[in-house]
Amino acid sequence: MDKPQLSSEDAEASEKLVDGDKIEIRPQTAVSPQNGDTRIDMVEVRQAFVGMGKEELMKFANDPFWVKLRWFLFGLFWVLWFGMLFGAVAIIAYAPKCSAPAERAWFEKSPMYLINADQIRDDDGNEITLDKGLLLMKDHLISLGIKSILLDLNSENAEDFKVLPKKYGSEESVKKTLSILRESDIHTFLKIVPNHVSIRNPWFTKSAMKEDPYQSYFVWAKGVNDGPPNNWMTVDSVDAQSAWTLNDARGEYYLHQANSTYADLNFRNRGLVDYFSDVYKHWLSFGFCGIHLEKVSLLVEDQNLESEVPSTVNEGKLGDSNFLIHSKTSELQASYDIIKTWDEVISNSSGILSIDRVAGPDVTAKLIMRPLSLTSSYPLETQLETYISDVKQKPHQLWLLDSASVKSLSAANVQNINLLFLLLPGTSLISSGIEVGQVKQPVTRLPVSKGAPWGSASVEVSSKELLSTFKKVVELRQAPSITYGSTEILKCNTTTPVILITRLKEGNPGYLISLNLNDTKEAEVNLIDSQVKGAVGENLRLVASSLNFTEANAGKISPDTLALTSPELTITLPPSSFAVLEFIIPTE
Amino acid sequence: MSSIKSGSSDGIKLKKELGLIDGVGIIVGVIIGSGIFVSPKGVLMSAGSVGFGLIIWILSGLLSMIGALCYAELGTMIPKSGGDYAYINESFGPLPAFLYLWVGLLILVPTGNAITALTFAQYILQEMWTCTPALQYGAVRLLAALVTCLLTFINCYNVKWATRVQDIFTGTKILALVMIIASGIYMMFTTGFNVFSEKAMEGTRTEPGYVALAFYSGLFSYSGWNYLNFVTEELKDPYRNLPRAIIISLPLVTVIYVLTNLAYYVVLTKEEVLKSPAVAITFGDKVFGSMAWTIPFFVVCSTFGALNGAIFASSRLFFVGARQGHLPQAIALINVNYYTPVPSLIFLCVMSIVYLLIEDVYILIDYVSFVEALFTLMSVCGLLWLRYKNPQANRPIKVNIILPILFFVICIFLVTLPCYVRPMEVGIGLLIIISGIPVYYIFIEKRAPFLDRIGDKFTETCAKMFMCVLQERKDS
Repeated sequence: MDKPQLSSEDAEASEKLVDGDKIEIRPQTAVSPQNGDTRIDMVEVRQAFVGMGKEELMKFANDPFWVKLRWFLFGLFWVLWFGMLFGAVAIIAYAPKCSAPAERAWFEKSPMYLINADQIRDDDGNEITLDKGLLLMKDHLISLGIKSILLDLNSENAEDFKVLPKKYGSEESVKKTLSILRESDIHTFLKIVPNHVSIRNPWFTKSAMKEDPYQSYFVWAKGVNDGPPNNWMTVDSVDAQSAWTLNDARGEYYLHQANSTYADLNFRNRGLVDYFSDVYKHWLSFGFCGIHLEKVSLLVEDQNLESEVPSTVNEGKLGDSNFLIHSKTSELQASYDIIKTWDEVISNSSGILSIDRVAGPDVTAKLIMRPLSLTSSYPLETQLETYISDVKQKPHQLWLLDSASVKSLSAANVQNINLLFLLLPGTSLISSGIEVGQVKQPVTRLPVSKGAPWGSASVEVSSKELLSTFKKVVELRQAPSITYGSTEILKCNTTTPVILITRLKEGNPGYLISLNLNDTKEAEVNLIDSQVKGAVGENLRLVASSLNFTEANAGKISPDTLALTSPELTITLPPSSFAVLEFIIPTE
Repeated sequence: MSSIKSGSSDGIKLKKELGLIDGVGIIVGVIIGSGIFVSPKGVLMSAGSVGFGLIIWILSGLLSMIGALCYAELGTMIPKSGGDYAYINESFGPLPAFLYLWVGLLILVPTGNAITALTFAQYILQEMWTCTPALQYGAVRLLAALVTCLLTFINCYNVKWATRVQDIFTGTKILALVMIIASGIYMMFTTGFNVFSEKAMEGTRTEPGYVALAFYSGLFSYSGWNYLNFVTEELKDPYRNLPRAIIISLPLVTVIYVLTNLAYYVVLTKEEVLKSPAVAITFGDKVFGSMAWTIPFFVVCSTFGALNGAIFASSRLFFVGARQGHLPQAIALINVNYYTPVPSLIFLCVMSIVYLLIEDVYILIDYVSFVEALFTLMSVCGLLWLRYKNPQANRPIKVNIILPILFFVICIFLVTLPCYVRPMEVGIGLLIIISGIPVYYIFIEKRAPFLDRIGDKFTETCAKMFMCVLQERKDS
């Protein structure tokens, strides 16, 4: 292509400027401020090429090739534009809509607060009737923000599952108390262990005498070679024993998967299943809002009483319960079928079924407790993390630390783990007394006669701190991120292992839950290294923590705003400590 | 498209189409993006109290005004488009100017546009979230690309349309904020809430570190006041309209910002403001009731306007850079029918869309504030340097020497603070700037002749394709 002649082009150009724009032609050297045109000349890097002038360009304006190309590009642009538009519209129209998360039901909103009816005492340690005890606890429960309690009436020792034992007072008064609690929006679950009854129960005696219909109420079997029928062992006890004990009256062995004073009921007997259906209906109409069943995985055992085989993975020694794979005694499909029947019965009576320790995927219940059992073989943090990441994917979570783990941990850590459970998806079961740090006593006494339990008089300062932390954490459960948000376990490279978990629902403040379960070493956590999403600037604010955390971070957390002021965004987690920080993910 | 305009004897250059209103529309429209609606809490967080926060907002407005006045002097003394680029070029030569262009090209402009477009898309989809993150991600990016293309098209087709869009949408966002302010004032009288009580200063943090951070957030909220300087050449009577637009816009923005914040504090508590993911929406839910949907709508309008202003102004930056020989010459082409820098606009559009595809585009924003502050510092240094070197030059606006010195000090602060707070980001920002030096020497200073030949061929092709010519020389 020929290059245009510079001189003629420019002469033309300067001429055109005059009439083209309604601006005075500018003198090149003198500057007049009224003139809006460029005054300072540009540094020319290269003079050689100035492109075509307009006249020359116009020759190509009507050249069919370029005209077509231009129209093609113009068309292509709009085709693509509308294509993208339709794409976007299609995505919006056809993608599954995010319906607002379903409002949580009452049993998911509140933690479940366990009250053992045997442990309610007045301040002098005397027993107090159940109705009075519960009424005196009402205000305390309300102040804790607890809307759901689990009442343990020790059904295992009951003679009749449908009758309130005399020692708990008159049925009328308890009924009335339940309805008073209900008026304060407190729902009550009744705990029942259907798996077994005491051998002092008349049922057992009658069954041993082969009286109908009781004779098949229990699992009876003849001994083999002067020994028990097979190698089944008891569960739950520290030193497991044979699950069979010889009954002299009947001359047969009876099965007891707990200890020998509790005989397992035979749920292959349909009559028993129906009996318990009636039991649940009875209590629901009595005023309970839900039934919590324990040990349901043990309901039914192998029909042929086959021996169990030793486990190749579990590390239990010969004689330990762990030594065997309990494929013949627990988690049988037949047990699940019974649970399903009961769930239907309870749902039809507008009740809620909560069950414990069931591993099966197709179990129907509204809450399923999967307790954390810690062992000494692995680091605590690893076990807890594995446990949480496993259970969080399962439905109807009801978190709990099992009693053996409670014994093995320090009191502070039991408290910390329970606080963590309160902030996980689903709900958790907490034992009364935990709000003031009474976690290790063999029997938790509920002193209720003088005002609220653990009122100002009877509690030390440290317990008051615990109580206020506990209340804050329960209150925090209302936050959308805790109720509906995702749960993520963060990796962190600290010398002392810690647990960092974030709860986040987009568009809401998120929460970072941090725990140091080491009883002696403190940990320094850098929130940026741990990739906490909201760890930007001063977006982090302490919302609840154990007392030692507040003390250890006195310089890093502003006392009035509770904002994290440490510029490196580090927090110190002292031994056995717990903290929840709120963070806001910047939107821009 | 191929028709020749009747007045084909016009000199081809960008026309002077922008009046005073358009100028105000650009400045106000670009400064007020989505920030005041979504997250006006950086200041509050560092200031600690509502009262002190408001003081910071006022002072930040005043300091930005000082900066803008300095730019008014620069803009009228050096009446070229390109803003900082032109001033740095004039004061310190082509290399620093090229580096500005380089970071503008690599981070400032496409990141800003991509994020504005994404905010636009997110608020359009606000009520239509899908549960599938991948689809949601796709829908947001598609919409962002759509709006970028649409605005690019408007800007290519007609400068008048582009300025009309700008004026309308700036008007809308002012209307929205006035609505918020009015309902805030109404609530203040009906509830008897007194923002000016002693409680307002509760929690004030006077430690220098916090005050600095508060100012930093405050000044950042006003950034964008230099955008009109990018289009100086297209202003009618720039010697009058540039300073006037600045003098009208900044006090306007300051008043709006302060009153809007005041309205927020009347209705929401400090904690609510800090916790809210989008303050105006929380405000709207509380005050407007069934009309609460208007707030996301206004955020959409506001981001649309801001994006249009940014596309309009920053396309001129690349245009001027190319005209100067710092970018491929094709970008300096002007369409003969529409008098718009079509190749520059298309180039900018493509860049913005590429940045939309980067998943972590939000991380880039961390580098923007520091880099921007660094070059603003350079421009104000240029002002002071030209005062010293060339005291007799014609300065239609000559501000009191105290103002540029004061602004120089502010810029030093804006540049040094991130060095302490976010040394990492500063380091990367500097690396990106420095990476422009070899590029400058290889492709501009010591360019191989074959590159020229390729460039010429490319320019010619673009010229024919988009019906463009280069601006006529003025210096022959």
